[in-house]
Amino acid sequence: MTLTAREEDTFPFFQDYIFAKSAIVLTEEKRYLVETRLAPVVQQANLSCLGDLMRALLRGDRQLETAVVDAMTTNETSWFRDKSPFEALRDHVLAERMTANSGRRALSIWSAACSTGQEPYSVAMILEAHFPELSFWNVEILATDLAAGALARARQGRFSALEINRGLPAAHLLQYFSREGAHFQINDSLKRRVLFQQLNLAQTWPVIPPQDVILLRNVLIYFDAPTRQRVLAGVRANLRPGGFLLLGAAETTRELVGGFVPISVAGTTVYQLKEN
Amino acid sequence: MRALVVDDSRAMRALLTNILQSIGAEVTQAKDGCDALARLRSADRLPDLMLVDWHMPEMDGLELIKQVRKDPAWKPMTVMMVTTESEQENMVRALLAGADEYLIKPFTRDAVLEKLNLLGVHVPEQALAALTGG
Amino acid sequence: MPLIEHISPATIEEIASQLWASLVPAEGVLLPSAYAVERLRRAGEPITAAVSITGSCDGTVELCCPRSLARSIAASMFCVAESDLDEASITDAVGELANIVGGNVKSLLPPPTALSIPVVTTARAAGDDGTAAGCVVGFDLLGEPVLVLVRDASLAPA
Repeated sequence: MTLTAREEDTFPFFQDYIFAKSAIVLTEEKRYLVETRLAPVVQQANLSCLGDLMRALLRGDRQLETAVVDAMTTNETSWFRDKSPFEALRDHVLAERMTANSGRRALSIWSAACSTGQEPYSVAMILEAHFPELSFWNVEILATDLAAGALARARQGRFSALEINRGLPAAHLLQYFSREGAHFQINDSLKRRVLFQQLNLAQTWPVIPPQDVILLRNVLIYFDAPTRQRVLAGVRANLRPGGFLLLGAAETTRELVGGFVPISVAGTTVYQLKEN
Repeated sequence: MRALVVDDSRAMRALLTNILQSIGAEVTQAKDGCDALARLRSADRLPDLMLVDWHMPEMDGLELIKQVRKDPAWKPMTVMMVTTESEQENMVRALLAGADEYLIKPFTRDAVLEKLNLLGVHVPEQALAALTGG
Repeated sequence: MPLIEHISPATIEEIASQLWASLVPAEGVLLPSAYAVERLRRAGEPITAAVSITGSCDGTVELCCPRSLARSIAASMFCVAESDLDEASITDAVGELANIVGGNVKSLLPPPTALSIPVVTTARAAGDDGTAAGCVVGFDLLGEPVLVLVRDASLAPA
């Protein structure tokens, strides 16, 4: 690719810039990632190289800032990602929270790094398919992400065939989507269940109502240790006693702040905040 | 795991075969529905999984799935349609014919493994854990 | 009904970029390119794969690229070294690409429609200079040009 700056090394700048904006840590071996992900940004902005992009960012170009943050956040996601956490949700977590909340008839679930929406919509599909009794409850699915572009797509609920292919059972595709041109549009009944909002986990959080379930999947891996600890402390503060935290398959729990009890269910581990 | 890949394109058969072999499957190939039926009849052990293209000469994938589902001995086999046909009516036709899942071309390797995981076909943990992209 | 009413350059871009995202490693980003026609003209031997659509709309979907690019795409599909590829494998691979693009275009058209098996030639796609009656979209993949043409049979050639 010709977009790689030969004369000037822009990588250290992008390392610092992306950490400042998103707390994402890019080690030396992620150099290629900066080059491949930012090449389309350079092209779309009619710039000639990463050096030009760097100078535009230094001038404070907000539009490019959003484009760069969006490009550098990993929007790798799929429906019912890893399958087992969603089975745990269906078979254990939701039932337990429904018992706990049966008096209030309210349930709140937060997908804290929702990317283009597959995770919160998968949760919404589980609620709709397996918990018809919840239609008489006040159920809120909050879905947040750092990347404005990903969130805009999530809100739209329009997915390409390539995205639809990723882990969505064909029966669900037929039930919850309709075809619009080259895309598949998620039904309004599911769209209405999810509230999308931009949130940078690495910065100060807005006021979030207490949650019964928090999905914080495949996001801690991009942060350094102090950021991870801050985020986990925030999760704990926003979870109801007895509420559940679901992490990504590859994420370890050594840094999990006290108070969580690991529970093995459906071949995965979920973390329940102890009742006080 | 044993798999049968049915597609009239050699390149597509190779692509799917490589993905399946990467998770330890033993793969045989067939170039159309007739070829697949012949291979199933002469196989000493039934494949666990069959991936089927829709449009093929001789016998198409839809007809193949109907034929396969007529024989109770072949019932345990998991069948996934893999095709460029992405109209929802066609998905319904494939599922009614007896397909267990449906994958639209083009697809990524991750998509194949995720569908197999959905179908309860054993995918090694390592391969699943590697589905992080990035 | 004119086929082209259902197809826009944006849909072709989307179909093609999905195809490439599925086939080539992350480094090979397919970018729209206004220079693809000119680059293809200057590049070495071309290869063109075509599928025709018949039914409610009639037309063809063609994919044209330099042979060198076809060879590396085939190598990635067959998962072998480029030097181990025979001609038939390259033809088969490019034919399947046209089949996938054609199948995706077909799914945007009102039923009933049918897709032919791909025909692969070593010629440049006719009308690749923009005179084709339909929609021509150029791309750049790893520095090499790729053209996707959707030709509408109901329109008279210019």
